[in-house]
Amino acid sequence: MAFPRSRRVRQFYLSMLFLITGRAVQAASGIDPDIRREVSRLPEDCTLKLTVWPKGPGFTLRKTEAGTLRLLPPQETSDADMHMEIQAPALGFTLFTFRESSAAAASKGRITASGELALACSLVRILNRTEIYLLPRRIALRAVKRYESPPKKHRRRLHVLFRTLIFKPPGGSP
Amino acid sequence: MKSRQFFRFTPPGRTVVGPRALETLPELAAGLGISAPMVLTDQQVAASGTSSLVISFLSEAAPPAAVFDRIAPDPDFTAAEAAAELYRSSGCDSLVAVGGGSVIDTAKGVNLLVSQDRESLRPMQGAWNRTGVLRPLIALPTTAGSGSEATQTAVLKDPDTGRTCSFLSPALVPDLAVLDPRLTETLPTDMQAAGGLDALTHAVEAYISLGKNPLSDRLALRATELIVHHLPRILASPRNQHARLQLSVAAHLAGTAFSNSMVGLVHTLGHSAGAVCGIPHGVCMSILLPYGLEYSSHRCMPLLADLLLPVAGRGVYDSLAEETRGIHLISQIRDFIREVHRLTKGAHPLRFRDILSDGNIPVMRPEHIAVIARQAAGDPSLFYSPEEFSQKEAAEVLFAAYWGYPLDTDLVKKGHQK
Ligand SMILES: [Fe+2]
Repeated sequence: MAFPRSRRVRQFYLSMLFLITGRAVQAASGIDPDIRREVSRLPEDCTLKLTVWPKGPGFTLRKTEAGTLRLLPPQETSDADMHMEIQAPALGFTLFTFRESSAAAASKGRITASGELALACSLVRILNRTEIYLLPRRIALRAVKRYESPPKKHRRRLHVLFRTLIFKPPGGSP
Repeated sequence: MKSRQFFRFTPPGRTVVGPRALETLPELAAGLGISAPMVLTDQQVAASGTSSLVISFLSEAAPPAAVFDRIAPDPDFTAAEAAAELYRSSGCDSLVAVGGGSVIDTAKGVNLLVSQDRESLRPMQGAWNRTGVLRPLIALPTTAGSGSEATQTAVLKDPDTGRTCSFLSPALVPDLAVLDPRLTETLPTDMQAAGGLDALTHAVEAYISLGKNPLSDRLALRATELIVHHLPRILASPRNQHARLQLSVAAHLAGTAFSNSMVGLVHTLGHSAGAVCGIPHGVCMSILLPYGLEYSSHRCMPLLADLLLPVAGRGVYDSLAEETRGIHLISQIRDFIREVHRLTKGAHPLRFRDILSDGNIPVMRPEHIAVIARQAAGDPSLFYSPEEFSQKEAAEVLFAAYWGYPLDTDLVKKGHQK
């Protein structure tokens, strides 16, 4: 997919990509043991934000009491414990069309992070794990450093895709 | 095909190098427009007379308004926060750091606090670009190791959690670095060894990092060559001024390289081992370096092969088949570290188990390994490692480094593909 020239189309595409990824993370956090373990180590009520500089789009996830991640509605997303920012819309597009890994993007300085960097490490691992459910293996291989098939991958993938694509307003319980 | 290359490069500030470089300090300080600097140092550097030497030169143009020397190895936020208070109450206008990585990193922390008028460093952590302009910072490294006088990073410990926290911004690069062999003259041999091997780790990790770029590559290769050539000479004859200056230059180059390409697994584990057990950073680096390379070798064999040339020289490099050079590099690095161990008469340890506290008790125990591996999962340098590693794999590497066993690279590779 080429990066659209029109600013509005671009913004729409990116918003959709972020919405899908955010919802997928929310869904995967309910069923994947690795993500659950990662979330269990986050501080209570911790919020993680990923946006495109300067004005978005993006998403914010909050740790719930149940130990999952909840996608916050836009009006609740002002301050986060850790805020990762992709430095330009075109770079966000490369990242979320999975032409490079989030680790590679971070390593080339294309993503900045304010707040505890341990939380940024957690978010990158959670995104990588979600990508394994969201994407066919061939594409996911480009997005992650090492591809590890989770147990019951196909059943869980169906669950994640179903929860991601069947519309529920953001903020609903996963 | 479209190029995917993208990199950014933040150079060091103005760098002045030479056996008489300190004599230019008054003019350089005046050039920066400073009149009331705060000198930061540690008690060892103060006791050696090195900081007094710097202060005497500095005073010709800008007599220090305050001196802060309460900086411990592996410093936490409290030193930076106390120094910031002194800075404000003494009406200082700039910072001069005389010391190793701990002192220079603390000075960077102080600079963030005083320039942004903040009380606490905790909320300022992160990797970001929009820091604004900071106060002038002059760095005079006394260790030839950390390269912090050239980098845009600072690593300080959070006293509440005991974890190392990173700060990264182009604004943190010191405005001026002065490298003079008199600055490293009184450094004890074991610290010289640890510093030199920290710099070697910076160069090697910068070269195999995912964040590498053509500029950092050139610096990393040259730094490797200088360290391998000059460190043994210094350890054999500490008065060799030329070798000491060359090692300072190498550490500066390696610092510039890793400041832009970042480091990897060795630092990820080493930061945590240092924080949990209080082992000096350079010692952690040299113990873990061969293991980190073995662990990632199947991902970066051609890069390891490139490094053989500066480490072993043209003769050895040409005599080996291409596919064996990478593995040979790892054994050459092991041999080099053993040689450093021999030249320091055993003061530089080869495995974690041999590091003893004053009461002759090992400072790291096997039960620390799981804690270190868990903390390592939160270290941002793991982004840049060519191979992914789980906590279990981190613990395996640490365990091998604890006992001094080589890693079974076949097993590592198979484990990864499982
Ligand atoms: Fe280091």
